[in-house]
Amino acid sequence: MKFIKLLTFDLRNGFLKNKLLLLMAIIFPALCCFDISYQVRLAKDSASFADYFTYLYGGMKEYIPSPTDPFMFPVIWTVLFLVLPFATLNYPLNDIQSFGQQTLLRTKGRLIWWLSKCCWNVLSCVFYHLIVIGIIVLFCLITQTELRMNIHGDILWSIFQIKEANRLSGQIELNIGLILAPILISISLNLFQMALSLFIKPVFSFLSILIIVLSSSYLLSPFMIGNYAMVVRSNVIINNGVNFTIGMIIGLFLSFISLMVGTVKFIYYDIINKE
Amino acid sequence: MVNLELVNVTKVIHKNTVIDGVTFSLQSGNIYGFQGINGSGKTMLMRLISGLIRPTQGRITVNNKILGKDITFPGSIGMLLENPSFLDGYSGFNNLKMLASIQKKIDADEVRRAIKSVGLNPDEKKKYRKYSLGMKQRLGIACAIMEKPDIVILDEPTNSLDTDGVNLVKSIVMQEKKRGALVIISCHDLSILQNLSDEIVLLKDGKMTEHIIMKDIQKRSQHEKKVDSNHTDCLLAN
Repeated sequence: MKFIKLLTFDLRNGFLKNKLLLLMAIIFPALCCFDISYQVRLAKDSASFADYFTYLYGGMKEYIPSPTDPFMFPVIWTVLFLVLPFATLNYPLNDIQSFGQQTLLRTKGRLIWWLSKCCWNVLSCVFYHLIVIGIIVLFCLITQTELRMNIHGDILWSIFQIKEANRLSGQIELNIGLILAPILISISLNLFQMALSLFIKPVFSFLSILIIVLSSSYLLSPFMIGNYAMVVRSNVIINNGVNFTIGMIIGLFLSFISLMVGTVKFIYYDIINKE
Repeated sequence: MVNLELVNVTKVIHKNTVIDGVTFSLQSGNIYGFQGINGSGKTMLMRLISGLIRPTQGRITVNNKILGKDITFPGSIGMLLENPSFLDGYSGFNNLKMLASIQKKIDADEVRRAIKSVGLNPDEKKKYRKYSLGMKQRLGIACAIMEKPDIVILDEPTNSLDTDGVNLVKSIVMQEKKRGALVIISCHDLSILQNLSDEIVLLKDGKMTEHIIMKDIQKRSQHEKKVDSNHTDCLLAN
């Protein structure tokens, strides 16, 4: 009961009252949908839900360094994935320095408090991505765009300049793995950031996430976790792409490790204002 | 009945010894005053007793249970530590009601009573962010005492309070003692502590420099008065 109470409290104060997170989850995908609908109108006559989803969650094609092709990080994907860790960065540690101390003493155990924060973090990620996807669906309904799960090859080409797009002139199915993996990676990065905040200042843990996200854009490698959150780097779409099933396993593993390390650290964590 | 014991408690943070070998024991129904200048370790000692931080060396026991080993926090504790902080977007009553709902020891009426006891209006709709410093402090005190805990920790409770507020704190502390709680209070003003406390712990650079038992001092001063008057009587007789 205490856990449910704490979690409800965290969701209310750390998610529902998080204006930045909610505004970005609504406004950003809406703007992107307007943008893609404009671009699609220029390039082709029809698009689907999957095209809109790929536009937001696509990331970028593999970057091959060359003097003529400077690295341009994928702005939309980066913003989409960094808003969440940024907006949820301070809540747990601010809470423990203030009102959280009172709740902590009343729950009589550190574990419940920490697990409530972990659940809040996971649910915030899930709700955030559900809102983003919900906005895409809403946009499709309003603009009478088909809610199909097929990505058009020619749209892939026009937006991401993916070589294989011609080969995919038919259509690629946006399977459930391509939708779930980015959400799972997002959850794991957020949990990792929260656990890391117990060891270093929150701002540095956010910088770590920023580095992971940006280096993943730069390097197409199965060892860079961000690749599993870029739909256009999936082996379903490009030949040398990464396997999203493996990505989901890595995401789950990272989440579990972050949860365990964070739990052990928090049990021995000194609750004082380190500033 | 609570018996709290600190045995050679030392806390080192970033190679700084903030509490150094503090040993003493505390019992229910007494008021303990912590006195010392800023940075002397009063708040740190309170954090150690509340279980928010763990000693680097030594041990703290609550009824023979080691804090941080057998128990995470003392069973029943109310605390006002440094500046009170509550949720900005809620009224004082809603903040306390939310906290009270975790343990369900008290109902809304008792929350109201606690708010009233510190001179605030529980029906006030004003949000916490609009409270004055004094009101925030009073709400912090109400939060610490509302569930009638066995241990009450009040760190500088008279901060930001006017004379009436200070008197109110004094009467609340005495009421808590009467109830049988173990009260720990820190204050810059030694006269307030002397007035209230049964025992005073003087801290300097994290070390306990003196442990004054007020009863002994009172006895001694009474004895000295008696000796003085006997001496005067003798002189007059001669």
